[in-house]
Amino acid sequence: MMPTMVQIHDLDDQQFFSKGLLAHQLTNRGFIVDSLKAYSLALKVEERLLKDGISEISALELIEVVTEELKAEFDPKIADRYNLVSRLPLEGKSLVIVMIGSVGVGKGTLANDLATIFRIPRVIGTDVIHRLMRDLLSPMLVPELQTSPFEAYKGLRPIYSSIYDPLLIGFDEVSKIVDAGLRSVIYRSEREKISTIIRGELFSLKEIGPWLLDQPEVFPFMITLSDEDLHKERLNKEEQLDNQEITSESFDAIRKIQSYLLEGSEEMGIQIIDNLSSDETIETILDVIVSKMKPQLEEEEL
Amino acid sequence: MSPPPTITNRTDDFQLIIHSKNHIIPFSRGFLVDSLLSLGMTYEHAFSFAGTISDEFPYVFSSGVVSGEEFQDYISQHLIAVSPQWASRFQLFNLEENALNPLIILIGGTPGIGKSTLANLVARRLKATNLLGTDILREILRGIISTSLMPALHFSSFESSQFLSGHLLTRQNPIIVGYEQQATKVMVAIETVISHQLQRPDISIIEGVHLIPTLISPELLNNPRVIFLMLSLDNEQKHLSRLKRRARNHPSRKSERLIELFDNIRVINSYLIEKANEANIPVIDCENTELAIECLMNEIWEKIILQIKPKEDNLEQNNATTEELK
Repeated sequence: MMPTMVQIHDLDDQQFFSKGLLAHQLTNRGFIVDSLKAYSLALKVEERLLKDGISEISALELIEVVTEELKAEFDPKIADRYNLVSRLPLEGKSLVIVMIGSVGVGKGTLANDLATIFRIPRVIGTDVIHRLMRDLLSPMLVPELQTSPFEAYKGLRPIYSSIYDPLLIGFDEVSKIVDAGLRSVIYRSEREKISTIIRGELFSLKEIGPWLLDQPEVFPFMITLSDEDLHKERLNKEEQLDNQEITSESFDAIRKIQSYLLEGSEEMGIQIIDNLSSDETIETILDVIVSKMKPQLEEEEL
Repeated sequence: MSPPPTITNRTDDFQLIIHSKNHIIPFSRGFLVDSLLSLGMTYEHAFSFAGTISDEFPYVFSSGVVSGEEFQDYISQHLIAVSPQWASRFQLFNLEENALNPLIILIGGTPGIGKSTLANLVARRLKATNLLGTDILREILRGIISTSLMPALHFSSFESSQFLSGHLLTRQNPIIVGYEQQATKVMVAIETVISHQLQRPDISIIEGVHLIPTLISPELLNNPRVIFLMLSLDNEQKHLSRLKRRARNHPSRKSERLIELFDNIRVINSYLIEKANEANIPVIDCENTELAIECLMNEIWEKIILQIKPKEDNLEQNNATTEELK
């Protein structure tokens, strides 16, 4: 007798194959834009499983079936992405995506999109770490943490020569303190195999850059916005939400920090992405991750 | 899980185009289903709702074009017909920009019961932009505070009784004393994060074993924009088998250790239920993931409607009355 339901025997949140759910996942995670196309693909997968008389399947086997159907219907690149992204958590693999960038370049949106695509449970901003450090350490010990990173120089003790820009010195001092918290987060993600996305501007790149690049499962990207008007526009949008005013002075500071981070990224060899279109940025990031992790997964199979 | 209803094969390729303020969007059933899930509908319900109303499109919007507002109204009308609760949720989530921001959802519970899976699902449905585990906060604390100063931080939450010196042990269970000590420290960081997120226009979810309802400052707990929910797993066998499955799927020293500490975890599980009851926090059983997510979303939405909406309506009314008085 032909089975009518296919059981998935090792998934947390789904016990039976559901073509609707598969279609939903494919569109929701951005593999297929058109929901009808996604549905017809899911229908094909179901027909194939039932025709082959499969009543029980493992999550990994199911991914392979979906991949084959995707390859037949769509760009093989999409099939590759789907395959890798879906397999990672099942194979106990984790990754840390680090998005470095100044305020208002669109890191937040990108982080959320990537979190959906990779089903990454943890998104953490460097601002949260900054706040934690500020509340947990005494102001006497870390005066530079008491203000926003853009005015941290006001808390600096007068040991620096004035030939450097105080804004950048203050910013870098704060970043160096946040560094300890950042490393804790990354250590933990790697040790417990929990994928994480970290976003923010508080990176002392000379300090942490080489280390980030050295970790096999960490993917750092520098997100910039070359177009100054677009940057201003996005900041103003955020400002409306945030009830915070972006003055021309603070905009200058934000641009200055961006140039500073850019310079650091160039020197360290961290990939720089101009975030003019978030779709293209996501594509680039996906390509980098897939091309680096695909051979790793294949190697383990052998 | 019952299979979702099948879409009727449409004879014509009718594509509805929605004209919004700035862009033109072709209607997608998947997208509608997605936004219905955000309101706490089950997948099956959302799918059949989206199917039924989109089958009507060729007749209702025969020109094939509709404005964004008109379309939202149409959805609202149909949601009211099902139940007014969907319509008011839809109103808050889709129509009033940022009505829900900030919102902080705290999800407590022990490891292995399916907490992170559920927190993930909630995050995806509510489009939460921040999802944090309390273990990562503990890790940051470990990174900046030395072992000798705060030994409680440097053990697993279920064996922190080890650092307790004998004289501290009263008649209370040492497992709970040690765990409470650690949670007290981590709570400082949790409260910092909550205060930080309350100033940001985001929806955040914080999950973890350190969320003890009676430990968090009442001021934050009673904030209308903070929602606290407790997860538990009554079925001990199921709990152990989930921990074992996790150890199989994600082998690590930690997951092995959690199985060894299973009895302690159960002690904490009962303790958390007790504390949740004390603080009037809903406890949701995770045995059936689908039921649990439905329950979670409902609790969250009921609290949103209860705590956020009327407060602001009242405020408007009050403002109106004061203006009238003037």
